Amino acid sequence: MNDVVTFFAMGGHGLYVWLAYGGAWVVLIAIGVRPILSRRRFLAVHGSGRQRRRAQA
Amino acid sequence: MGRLATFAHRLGSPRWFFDITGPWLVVLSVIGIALVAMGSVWGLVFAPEDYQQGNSFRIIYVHVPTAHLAEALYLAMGAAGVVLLVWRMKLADMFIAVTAPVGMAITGVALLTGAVWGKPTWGAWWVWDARTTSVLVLFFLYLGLMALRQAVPGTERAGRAVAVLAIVGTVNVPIIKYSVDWWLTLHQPASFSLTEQPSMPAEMWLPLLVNVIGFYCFVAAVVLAGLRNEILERESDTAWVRDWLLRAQPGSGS
Repeated sequence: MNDVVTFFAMGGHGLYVWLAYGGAWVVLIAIGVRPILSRRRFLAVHGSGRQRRRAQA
Repeated sequence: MGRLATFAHRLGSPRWFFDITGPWLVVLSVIGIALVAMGSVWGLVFAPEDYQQGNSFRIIYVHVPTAHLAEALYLAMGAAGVVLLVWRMKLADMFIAVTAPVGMAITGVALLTGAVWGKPTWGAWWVWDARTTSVLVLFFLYLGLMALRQAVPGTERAGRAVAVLAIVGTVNVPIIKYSVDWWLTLHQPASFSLTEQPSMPAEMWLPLLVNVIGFYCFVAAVVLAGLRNEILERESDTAWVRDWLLRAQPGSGS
C-alpha cells in the first residue's frame, strides 16, 4: 500500500507528473476517437440513405 | 526513382490511396498504442529519477514526443501545401484539412506539459521565453489554418489560401528548433539528436525513444483515419464510394 502511495506521490511532484500525463492521455484518446465517430456518422448518414434507395428500388 | 514517380502519380487518385491504406491503419494503430503504453509505463515506473529535477523529469516522456510531433506535422502540412499549389493534388488539401486540428491538439499538449514541467523546474507555469513563445505562435498558426478554411468560400479557394499560410508558417519551425541556441532561454537544449550521443543514460533515453516512435505511429494512424474519412466525404457522390458503402454496411465487417 505504501509503495503505491509513494509511486503516486512522485516525491512531491505527483500533481505535476499526473497532470501532464492525464492531460496528454485525454487529448490522445480524444483525437483517436474523433475519426471513429466521424466514420460512424458518415455511415449513418450515407449508408441509411443508400439502404432506403435500395429498398425502394 | 521510377517507382517513386509512379507512387507520387498514383497519389493523385484518392480512391487508390483509400484502397491501399486500410491495412496500414491497423498496423500503425496497434504499434502506436503498444509503444506509447510501453514507453509511458517504462518512463513512469522503471526509469530512474533525475538527480536535479527529481520525478518531475518524467514529464519528458510526453513533452518531448508531442513537441517534436507539433513541428513535424506543421512541416508535413507545408510540404503538402507546395504539392497542392504546384500539382493541384486533391489529397494534399485533404491532408492539410485533417492534420491541422490534430497538430493543434498535439501542440496544445506540448504547451500544457511544458507549463506543468515549468512550475517545479523554473518556479513559473509560463515564461515568455523564446522557445515557449515560438511554440505558442505555432499553436496559433494551426488555429489560423482552421479559421482560414472556414472563412474563405469555396473548397478550392479555401484550400489554396490555407496552403499558402501552411507554407509561410514553416518559417516558424526553424525558429522553434534554434531558439534555444539563438537566444538566452530558460528552456534546456534539445534532449536528443540524430547525430549526437545522448547526454542522458540509456535507462532514461530508451523509454523516450520508445514513446517518440509510439506517438509518431499513433498520430500517423489518426491522420490516416481522418484522411480516409475526408476522402469518403468529398467523394461521396462517386460510384466507387457508393460501392464501398454497400460493402461497409454495419455487420459486413469492412
